[in-house]
Amino acid sequence: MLSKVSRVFDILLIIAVPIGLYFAFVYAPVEARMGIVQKIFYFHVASAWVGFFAFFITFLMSICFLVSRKFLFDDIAEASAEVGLLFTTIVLLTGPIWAKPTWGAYWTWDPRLTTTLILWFIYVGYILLRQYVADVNQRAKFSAALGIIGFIDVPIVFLSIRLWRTIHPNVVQKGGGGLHPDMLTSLFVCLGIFTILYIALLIKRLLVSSLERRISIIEEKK
Amino acid sequence: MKNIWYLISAYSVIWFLLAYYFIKIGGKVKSLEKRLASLEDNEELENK
Repeated sequence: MLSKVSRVFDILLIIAVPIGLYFAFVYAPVEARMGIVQKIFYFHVASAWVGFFAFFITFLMSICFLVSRKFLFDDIAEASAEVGLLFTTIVLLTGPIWAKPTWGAYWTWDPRLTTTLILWFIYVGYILLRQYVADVNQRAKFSAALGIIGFIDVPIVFLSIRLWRTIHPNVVQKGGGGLHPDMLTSLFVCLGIFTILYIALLIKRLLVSSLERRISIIEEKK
Repeated sequence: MKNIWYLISAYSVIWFLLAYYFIKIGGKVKSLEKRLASLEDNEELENK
């Protein structure tokens, strides 16, 4: 069942990705001040939002695991954390590439950048924790605890622009941060496509967990 | 004009990372499916 759903999303991606590229490169106008480099924004912001959503799913599933002790929730939490870490890595790599021509430096210890880096380290820690705890029950419990506590940084990253002085642009405000309507449309299209990408990757990662579990059950019987 | 190289670099990073993870996970799924199929076949033979 999961395999079939995975194939459907693979086909959706083949259609969706070129649409996203069209919206980012052709439909969206070139920004007057920053020029063409501004177009990094569509996938950079989409990656950030999808990364936050992925960590929210990990947070939710961690709570569900601690309440029910069903390993399905632990599998989803792990898969979502891994995919979320991938998207956060994209954010941390594309942001500096945009920043160099715009701010004149790849990195500053700006609140938004710093809190996002902390978020990345938290979820690297989550993945490493799972690698190094051998006992299945302990691994799930400790990961769930980290998945819940680590999520505290997500609203901090999101609100960092309001809480502290920052040079990072703010799109999420009244009027869409002064964005041209075509840019806003392109942003939402890219966000939709990255959400499909997240679901496709999550399902594939869940397939891995499910297959590993079925294999270990058969091997234990022997 | 040189800013276009920053744009190309950023998009290369995005799609390289996504493609790498996609292919890695897809490969892992295929190999696990094969392993599961062979274990289930062996189990059936043992039960007969």
